[in-house]
Amino acid sequence: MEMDISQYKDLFITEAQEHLDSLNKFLLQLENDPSNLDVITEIFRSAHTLKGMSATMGYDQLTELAHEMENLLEHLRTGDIPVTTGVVDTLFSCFDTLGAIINAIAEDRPGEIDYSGLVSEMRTVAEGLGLAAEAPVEAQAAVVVEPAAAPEAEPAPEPPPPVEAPVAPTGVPPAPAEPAPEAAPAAGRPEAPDAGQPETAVLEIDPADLERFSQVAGMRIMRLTVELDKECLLKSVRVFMVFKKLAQLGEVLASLPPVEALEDEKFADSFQVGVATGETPEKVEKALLAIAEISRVSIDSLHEPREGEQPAQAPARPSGEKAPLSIARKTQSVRVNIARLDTLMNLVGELVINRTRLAQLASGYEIGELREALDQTARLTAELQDEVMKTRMVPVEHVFNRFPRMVRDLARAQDKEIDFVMEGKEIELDRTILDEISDPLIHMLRNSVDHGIASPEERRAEGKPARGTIRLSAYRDRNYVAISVEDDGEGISLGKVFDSALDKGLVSEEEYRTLTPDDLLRVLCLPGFSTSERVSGVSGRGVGMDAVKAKAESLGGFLVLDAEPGRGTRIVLNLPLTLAIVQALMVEVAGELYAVPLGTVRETHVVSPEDIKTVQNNEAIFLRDETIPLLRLDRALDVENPGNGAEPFPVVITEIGPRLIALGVHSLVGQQEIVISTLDQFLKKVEGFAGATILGSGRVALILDIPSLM
Amino acid sequence: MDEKGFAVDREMQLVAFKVGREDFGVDVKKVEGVISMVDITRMPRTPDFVEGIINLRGQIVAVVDLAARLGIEASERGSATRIVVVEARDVKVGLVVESPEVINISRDDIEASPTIASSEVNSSFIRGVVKLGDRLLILLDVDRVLSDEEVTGIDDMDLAQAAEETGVDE
Repeated sequence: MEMDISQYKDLFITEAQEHLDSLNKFLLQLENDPSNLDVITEIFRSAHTLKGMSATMGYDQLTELAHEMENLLEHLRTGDIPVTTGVVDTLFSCFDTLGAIINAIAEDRPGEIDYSGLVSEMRTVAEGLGLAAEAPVEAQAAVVVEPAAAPEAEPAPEPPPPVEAPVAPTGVPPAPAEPAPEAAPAAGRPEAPDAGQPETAVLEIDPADLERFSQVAGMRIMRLTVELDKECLLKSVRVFMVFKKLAQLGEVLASLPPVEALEDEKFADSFQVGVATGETPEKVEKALLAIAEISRVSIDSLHEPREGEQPAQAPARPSGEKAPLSIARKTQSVRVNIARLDTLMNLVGELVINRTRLAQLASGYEIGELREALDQTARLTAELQDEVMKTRMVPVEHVFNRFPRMVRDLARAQDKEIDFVMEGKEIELDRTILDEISDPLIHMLRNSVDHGIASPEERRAEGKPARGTIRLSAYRDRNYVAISVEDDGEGISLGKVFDSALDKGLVSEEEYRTLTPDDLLRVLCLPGFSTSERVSGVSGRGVGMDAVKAKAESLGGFLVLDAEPGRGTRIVLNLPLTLAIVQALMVEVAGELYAVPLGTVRETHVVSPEDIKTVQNNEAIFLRDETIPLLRLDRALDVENPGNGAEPFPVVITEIGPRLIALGVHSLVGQQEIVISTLDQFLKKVEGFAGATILGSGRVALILDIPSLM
Repeated sequence: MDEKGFAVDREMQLVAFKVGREDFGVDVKKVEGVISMVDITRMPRTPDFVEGIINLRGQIVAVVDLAARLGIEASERGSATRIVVVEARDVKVGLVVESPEVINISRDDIEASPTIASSEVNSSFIRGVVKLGDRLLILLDVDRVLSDEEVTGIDDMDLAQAAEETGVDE
């Protein structure tokens, strides 16, 4: 439990990155709406906080660059210089450099980033040099500067916003001369009521806690009022250190304002904490004062350790309408290392396996009480599993947030006009999956900008609005989260794509003749296709699509493509909600059990040999009006078939995107919850399996990966 | 032990075992543990020497038939058959062997020249040989036995094999 500077470094980096995110977000807003002084104020506020944090941590490069940036922003705020595309570009590149420096700090190699050119660029811009000819950004023209300057958008001559230092949004009492570091008040999070807690509010301790701890011999209960330096910038870090120190000395009972508000720095300069400790007040005070930027600690004793005596100042009765109390341990929100969550998930997985095993063992005995206890355990395990899964879920927003900026930059580089719309940012995905989908989405969005949306002139010529639209949406679709990238651009010409594939030798002449619209996605995702030069505006469409497809499949998801020449393209990335535990249909082939993820199963049937037809040398079954390719697992897996092939056998109809595949098996075993274990290096490359799972019996069963089986 | 000073360095522990008629040893530092034979789940689409996968305390581990891997004659499986779990290049792999035991040797007993071994075992798998009385023990280099090329090779071998056999099949 030693104090470790890297702990604050991590916190610093996380917070700094959050500030950068909001800087990017607000600057995009400003570009859309250059006269919005509120947005400038937000940008200024974030920049100022970033500077202060960096100075506190002693990161000079960051501090210097943030300082230069602040100077430039100050000119924007006062209206000295107008919001032009040039200024916006300069600021964006400044954000990028700040990001690079933060990354360098994170990787313990500070001082590697050269930003001298940027500094002089910012100074030039700040002095208004070279700006004379540039037109201010026109409102609403987010991505492309219209050639002609709009007169009414002249340098916003508005007076600067109120005070010298920006003022915290609401409620924070007089004290802070520094900006409230809450970066994104515009994000609609209401200020906690506690933020404006008058100084007179007094922390009350839950009587139950008081009673519990006062019965412990030698235990003192005290109320601490901790005051931070007025100049303190990383207040949440100080709060964290105080809580950590107190946790070493005893137990934290409650705080005012509650911990969440403290962590969000929604307090002025002081806060109160209730502690139960065996230490003397002097020692506690001394320990806290040893933390930097703690200016004063005052202590009220609520209980002294004398046998049989009541606390000197019995706390007022709780039920009061006073400040709501929270017990720190219960309400605290913490940042948790993902590795911890992985471990927790694995443990829950083991528990699920053991529960299944117990249930199997118990099924041999008719003991009512045992069954009841097991049912209870099953319910609890399910709840536990659910909760653990939830802790791993993160809104897709975390990945989406950087795309507006990317699309803007790409569009600007190609002189295209694009409205970028994002929907469903609140949809959540397992953290592990989320980390993986950033690259595929970048590929998809790039394709839309590069090849989907044409230039404004071309679009006008086609009778479309000059501005194209790219829509990135996330939504739930049964067991999947679907993320779609949709543009109203050129669409994809089947003929061109197939011709190009033939030219490159990716499909044979014979295959070429049998290609249907259903094959479009497959052809686009052929490895060689992606590296093609842009023969025409369309044929380069497949940039990285093979990588996108591979990623989707490795995550247990799939791609769906919907393209209409001249009307636009829509690609949907379907991902499982979570990787770790899924429902599966267990099937048996040659004495071994295999798991088929239930999300892909549409139905099961029993087919007789006479139901099987051969279509182009491949077996298929006819079901209602559909022809479904048949994949006999015993052959696909190269294991023996005990039967003579004449008896009926069960098939599992699976749905992989738009395609149906009938899996021929030897018998159906049943539906079961399985915990997915990944296969190690040694086995990973074997195609056909998405992983393995440990059954209740302790035996291992392989999980089938249907796309790679074929 | 500590008082012996540098002498400690000359000592070495091996997990010694039999495969077929030959004696082998693996540096104990490479060994994660020894378990009795369990039910092994067959893993289709892998080379013949991959026997399958097992559940090793919640972890999925591949099991290799060492006799098949080394290309020597296997002995009957019986009560002395064990799985020695080794860690080769950060991956745990189980090896099917007979009668494993831990023995102490001196490093001085290791003879480098693999030519002494009158074995048909691929010499690149051999780190050396140890004479123990009239026994000649082959010290295996598990990293080589389960080398990267082999690990990635599974894929290619499998595909070639699968292609061949689906052609023949029916």
